[in-house]
Amino acid sequence: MAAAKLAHQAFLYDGAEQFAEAMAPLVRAGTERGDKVLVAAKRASTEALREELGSDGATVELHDTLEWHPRPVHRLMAVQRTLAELPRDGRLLALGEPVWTGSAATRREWARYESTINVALADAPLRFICLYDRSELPESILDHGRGTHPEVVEGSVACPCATFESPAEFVRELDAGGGATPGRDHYDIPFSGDHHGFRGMLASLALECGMSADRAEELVLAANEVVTNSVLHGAPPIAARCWVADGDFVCEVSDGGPGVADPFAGWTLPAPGAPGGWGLAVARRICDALEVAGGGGSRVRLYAALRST
Amino acid sequence: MDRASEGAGGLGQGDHACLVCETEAERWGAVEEFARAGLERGERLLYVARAGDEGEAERRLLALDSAGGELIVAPAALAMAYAGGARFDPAERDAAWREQVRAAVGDGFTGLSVAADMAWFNEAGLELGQILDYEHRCTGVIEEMPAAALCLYDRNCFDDRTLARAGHAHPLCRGRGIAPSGMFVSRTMQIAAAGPGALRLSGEVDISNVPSLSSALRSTALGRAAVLLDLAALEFIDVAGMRAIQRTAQGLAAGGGELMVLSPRPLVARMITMMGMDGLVRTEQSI
Repeated sequence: MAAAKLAHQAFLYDGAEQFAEAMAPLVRAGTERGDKVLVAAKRASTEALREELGSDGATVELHDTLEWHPRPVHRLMAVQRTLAELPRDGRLLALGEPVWTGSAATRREWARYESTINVALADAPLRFICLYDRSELPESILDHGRGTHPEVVEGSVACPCATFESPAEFVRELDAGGGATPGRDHYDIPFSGDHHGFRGMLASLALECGMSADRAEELVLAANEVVTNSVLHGAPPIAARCWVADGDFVCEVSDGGPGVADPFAGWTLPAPGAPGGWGLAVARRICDALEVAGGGGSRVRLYAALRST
Repeated sequence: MDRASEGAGGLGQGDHACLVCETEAERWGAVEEFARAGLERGERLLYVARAGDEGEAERRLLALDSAGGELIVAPAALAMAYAGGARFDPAERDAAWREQVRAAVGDGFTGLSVAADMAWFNEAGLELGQILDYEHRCTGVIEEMPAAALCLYDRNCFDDRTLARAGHAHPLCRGRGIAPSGMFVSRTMQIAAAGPGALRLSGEVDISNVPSLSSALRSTALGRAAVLLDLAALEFIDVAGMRAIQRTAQGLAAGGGELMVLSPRPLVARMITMMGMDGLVRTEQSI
């Protein structure tokens, strides 16, 4: 048997019925081989697949994608945990559908997740088929799918995907494109070395914009970590600019330093004894999206939905 | 070690600490510990004595092993002369202290540590505003240069308001009515001993005070198998603070011991899980 290695494939389908018909044979083959099979898709799709599989689906783990770890970094960690629980020489077949119903920033975070999988799970004994419903997704999201998977599933075979981009380049491009820069309605919070004062100002601003107290506490922790990184690794002037876009509260922390070099910063938790990387890992786990914006100097943008979905 | 002075030996370059002292024993204990640590680091140690105390200071401090450092006992009259009475100019003092640090380094020492009895403030007739301005400027000098300072405020010499305001003009302070006894604390975080091997944290922990937390955790874990951290009153802790707890827990676990965290707020409990510390620390909601 070939060495364990990731097969990361996009499957562009048209509606729940077609999805179930096309995937059922793959799932059956997987369970017959003894692979663990995990599915997180839209409810209609999982229901159709359950029906199609009948009693063959007894060992298949089926989840609603809106409920099973519905934030990208948490989804990635859940897949990693499932992999860690596999028996020796075991393999995982995962069918995953990102959640495209959130804000523009969270849709970019899911695209980033898709690209990051190629790096974070490169050596995993995993066939990961990511689902894109052509019947309802815009072309821009289908393009993300074609840019983040080395292969696409056509019928029963996987073909190389010519539009696949190197993950580092894809993520950098996505980060640089970023969201719209704020209009006139933004608030600046200067940072002069007083972390306590900075946290207080950011918390009041988030609450004023309608964020819940619990969510504001989380956002403040994330922003404090990014500011701490600027103090330790960046250069003055350090400041935060906040605004609201597409239902998200956005907090952009900037400094005069070179910025975050690793395009995959914060996706994977550092090793227990590692000296660095913890702040951004926690920040990404707390926020709905985190991006390292392009342009001169260092800019890290944190997004938190004002209304939880 | 004198229980009352615990903590002064843990101060080092970059620290500007205030100790509101109650007794002679506490004052001398803290000065000796602070001086010993500075001398071991190869610093020039300057003690600014109170008028009439110079003899006692020399008797106690010159007996210390000077290691690679140098100890100087300066009479209070020197501080008075510096102060210039009514002409006291904090900006001038700022420049003079910078010159003193440069001189210590120029003479081959690793830096300058100053322990000063602040009773001369009264004798010079300084007002609270001047004292606060002076202390804030000293913090700036100490942050930028290889220097440390321990400012001793005798409770018998100052009123409560001056003590509270002057205490909190320092990044670190300790004393009854200013901060819980036992350890030096920052303006935003308090650490209190809560029994053997137990600490109670309150306020906010971030990189401005993590070194104090680390040293408190280190000294608490020393020679113990179990440490209890009561976090019920802790309002904020950043990742650096959690890492300090993680390191302590790892050290305890390596020796078969355990760190227990009591009543963390929900976000702190989530950080424990998020940072993969849930297998390392035991979390309890209340005893």
